[in-house]
Amino acid sequence: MTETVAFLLVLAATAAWLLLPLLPAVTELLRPTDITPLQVVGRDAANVALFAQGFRAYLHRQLEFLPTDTPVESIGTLPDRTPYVRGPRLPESLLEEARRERGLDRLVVLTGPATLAGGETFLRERYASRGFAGGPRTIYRAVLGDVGLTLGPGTVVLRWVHARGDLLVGDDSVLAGRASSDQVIRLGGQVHFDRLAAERIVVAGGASLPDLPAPTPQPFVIPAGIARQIGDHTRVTGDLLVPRDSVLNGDLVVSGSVTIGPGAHLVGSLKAHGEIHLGEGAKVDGSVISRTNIRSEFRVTIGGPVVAEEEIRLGSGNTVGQQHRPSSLAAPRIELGIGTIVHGLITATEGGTTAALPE
Amino acid sequence: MLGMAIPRDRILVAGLLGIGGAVAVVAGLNPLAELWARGFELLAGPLGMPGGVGTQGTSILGLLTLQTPFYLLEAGPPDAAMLRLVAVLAGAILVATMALPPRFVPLRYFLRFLILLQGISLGYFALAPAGSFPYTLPSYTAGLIGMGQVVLVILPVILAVTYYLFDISWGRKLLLTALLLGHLAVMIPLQATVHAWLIARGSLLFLPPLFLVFGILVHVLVFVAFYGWGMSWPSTRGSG
Amino acid sequence: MIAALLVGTLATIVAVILTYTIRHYTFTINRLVGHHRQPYVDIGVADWPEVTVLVPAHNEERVIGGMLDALLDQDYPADRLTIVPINDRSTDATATIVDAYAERHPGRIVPHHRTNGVGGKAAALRDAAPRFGGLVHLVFDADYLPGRGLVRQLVAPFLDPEVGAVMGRVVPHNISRSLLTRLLDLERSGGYQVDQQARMNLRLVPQYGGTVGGVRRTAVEAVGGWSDDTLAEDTDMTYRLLLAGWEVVYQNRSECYEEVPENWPTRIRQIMRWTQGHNQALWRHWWPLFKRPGHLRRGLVFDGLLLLGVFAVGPLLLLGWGVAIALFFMGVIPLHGFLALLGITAYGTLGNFAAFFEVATAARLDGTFGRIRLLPFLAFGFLVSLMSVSRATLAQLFLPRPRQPREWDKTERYRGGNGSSPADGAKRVQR
Repeated sequence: MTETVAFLLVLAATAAWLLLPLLPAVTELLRPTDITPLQVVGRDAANVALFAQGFRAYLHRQLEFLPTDTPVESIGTLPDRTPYVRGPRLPESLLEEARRERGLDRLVVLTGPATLAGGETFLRERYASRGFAGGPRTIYRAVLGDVGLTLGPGTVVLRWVHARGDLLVGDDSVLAGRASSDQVIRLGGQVHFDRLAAERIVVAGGASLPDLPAPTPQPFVIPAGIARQIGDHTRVTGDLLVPRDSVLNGDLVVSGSVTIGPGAHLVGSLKAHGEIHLGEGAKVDGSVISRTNIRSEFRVTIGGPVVAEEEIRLGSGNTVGQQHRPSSLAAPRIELGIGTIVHGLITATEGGTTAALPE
Repeated sequence: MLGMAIPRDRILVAGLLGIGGAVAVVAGLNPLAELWARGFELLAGPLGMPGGVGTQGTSILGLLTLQTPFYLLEAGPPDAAMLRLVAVLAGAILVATMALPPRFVPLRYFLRFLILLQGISLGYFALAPAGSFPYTLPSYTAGLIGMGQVVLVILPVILAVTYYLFDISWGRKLLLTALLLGHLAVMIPLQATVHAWLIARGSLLFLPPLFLVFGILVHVLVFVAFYGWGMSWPSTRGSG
Repeated sequence: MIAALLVGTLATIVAVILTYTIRHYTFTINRLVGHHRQPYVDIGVADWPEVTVLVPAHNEERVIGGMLDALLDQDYPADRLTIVPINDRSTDATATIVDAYAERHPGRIVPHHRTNGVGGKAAALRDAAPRFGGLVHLVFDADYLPGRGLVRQLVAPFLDPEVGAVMGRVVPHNISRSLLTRLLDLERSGGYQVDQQARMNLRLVPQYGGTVGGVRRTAVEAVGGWSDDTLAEDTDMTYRLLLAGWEVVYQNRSECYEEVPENWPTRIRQIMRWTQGHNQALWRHWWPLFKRPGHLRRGLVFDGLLLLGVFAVGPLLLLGWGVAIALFFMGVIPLHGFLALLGITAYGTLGNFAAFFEVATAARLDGTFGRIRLLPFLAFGFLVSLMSVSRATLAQLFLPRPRQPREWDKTERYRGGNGSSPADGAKRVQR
């Protein structure tokens, strides 16, 4: 009996020892610390102006709750203790502060048209209810303009910028985060960006570009040996060259790389597992999708969307989308040639840039 | 979260710790075996397990001899009375499982699996020729301890490829490793002791279910429990 | 001789388990450090095509209103979105509710009522889908709650002419109900956040799952339409599209809430249904896939075969156990390695066969850390799944198929009060 009792003690000790590492699991089961459903945010790619809208709503709430006797021109703190300045223009003392290395740590609310000399740093959001023109080499955390906005050369925007009117961005600027306009975004040369959205996004230099002569359309039939029809698209095995001025109807999927020759016209969408090269004056009515890179020459027109899993390099004078049929341009790296026009949305997850303008 | 960059130095350190940990465990196995043997000797008396403690030496690649302690305790096959008693008990438990409410479905399946194994063992001992059972209690406990030693050696390697790669502080990773190894270092001899006592008292009839369900599967349960706990710790980026 | 045969069998089974374990480890590492493919997620603006959203429904009076409200609230051009609730011989108020919605939203909601024919979701789709146009047919189960942007997100990949089907991510919202719901939440995480996404990253075979997803209408027509003689029309469609040359894509960020089974009997029925459907797909498609159509890479074919076999692994594991037990009594050792491997697989989820490290990694990637402590309890789910999968497979092999029309076999609905939100549900059940 004593041996049995001794065994039961050993058994109990063993069971307790075995259950010890299960304590965290049992505790989590009985007193859960993590039991809410995963937050389904519905991460929306389309609304680039989301932060700007949020800021507008925030500002409206804060200004609404300022004391009623607060003058229109004022320097102080908002109800949530954010330091701010409001007025038709920034006082010289604050401009001086903005030009110092540390920058101006106040939310700026401009009630009149304003122009900056340049070289300032604004650590908090800036709102302009009237026209605003920033100077060169200015750093903004974020800017919201109710009319048009002009950002001088060498501007850096750290989070977002949105204009209800046109947004003009000078050469060599950096638009980190989101940049959007309800109308037109005009980009200078060597502008770096992440996400852009507007009815029209235009890279400067287009006015100087020559037009191309109209192509002479030639019907083109893909050789039967490399193509087969799958549903409503034609699948091509290997690489494909669509000759100059050809017209091809229907959607195309190419397992290798594809070159659409100069002046050729694809009345449909294009997908390639390899590279896509669009020759000068080529036209694709639908989407252009590549698992690697897309490169286009001069004056190419694409209905959109344009998506590459590595890089997109659009030549000068390209057009993506249309005024009433906006589209999307998406790739990790994007380069936009001079005079490129994109209607809609551009997303460069690793960074995009506009080409340098000719001297 | 899109993914997690694993810096090269973390991969390197993980690999070194995995291999180094395994080597360290190998180096510590014989002193640990010595401790286990002392423990067995201490427990054998109160538990009424005569025969003493033996040690089995196994040469590892000619580099070292791994000592494995075990109980020199014998157990025989079940007699008819034991067979009947266990059969009745197994039947009763089987019937009882039918009365379990739906929320105990996993328990129901587990018990039935256990009953099935015990039933196969019953059938074997009832029908197989006497003396045909291929295992003795001493060889069984030696095997159990030996298996445990192997588990201790490979655990650092398993942790290296499933745990060390994550963005959890090295202090916490080493803590988890130490706790896991320490736990099993105590668990393994206790487990062998419990098995040996039950088989010695109850006969070899209980060896198959004990081995197949309460053998290495217990070590796996312990590992997964520690692993789940360790993986719930916050990341070094503070996003948890 | 017998021992050699058994050892050979066991070695083969071990090799299969090891193959799946390596596969899932590869997926986990890829998900951690590999390039995350989501090429279509930034298509936020486009000339959106016409879409039909099919919502098969049988006795869904409790939830159908909420689904229709969510679809009406989509930020997709209203003139290009047709919502088709397919009332499949409901005996409750589903038909009345659906007709009322159609009356309030003429042209936007176009009900399709079935009063006879083969029952079941697959049959409902086969019957209704050809009657509606559009480039894309999205399919949602009636108890889901799509967010405002989900339709647009799921349609975007179809602007790629090669895409034949899209699958989004299913997220349980009733996880606080029981241990089972919490385990299923972990399983879903592993299955979607790691497994599906890794297959998308590696250009293997993401699976179209029948809800929170959609198909290209012309692709479905090209492969002969929906099959109504299968319990897993989604798996079947995945492979038919794949073999015909279409691409199936997965979008991790296209998330939608669902209700998971809250009790074991419901879970058992669900997994038995999935098993039999998946095994049907295995039987139909393994040989055509194995012959490797020219457009499919070897790696994709290999993984496609492994995917087809995920439910067959269950009975294989049981066979392995049987062989191991036999070898044990024959004195053939060592078995520790096999048993260890089996033990490791026991802390996983059968079906997608996600191993425990895959589940834990997924939960970390989701930023949900506390629930990972529940990992050891996965053994409960595994045991139940193993038995259910094996039972279903054996029944499929040895019992005659019923001749009566297939009835709906769906998960119980727990959300009450038509239109209640997941938040409402969560508040109601958290006591």
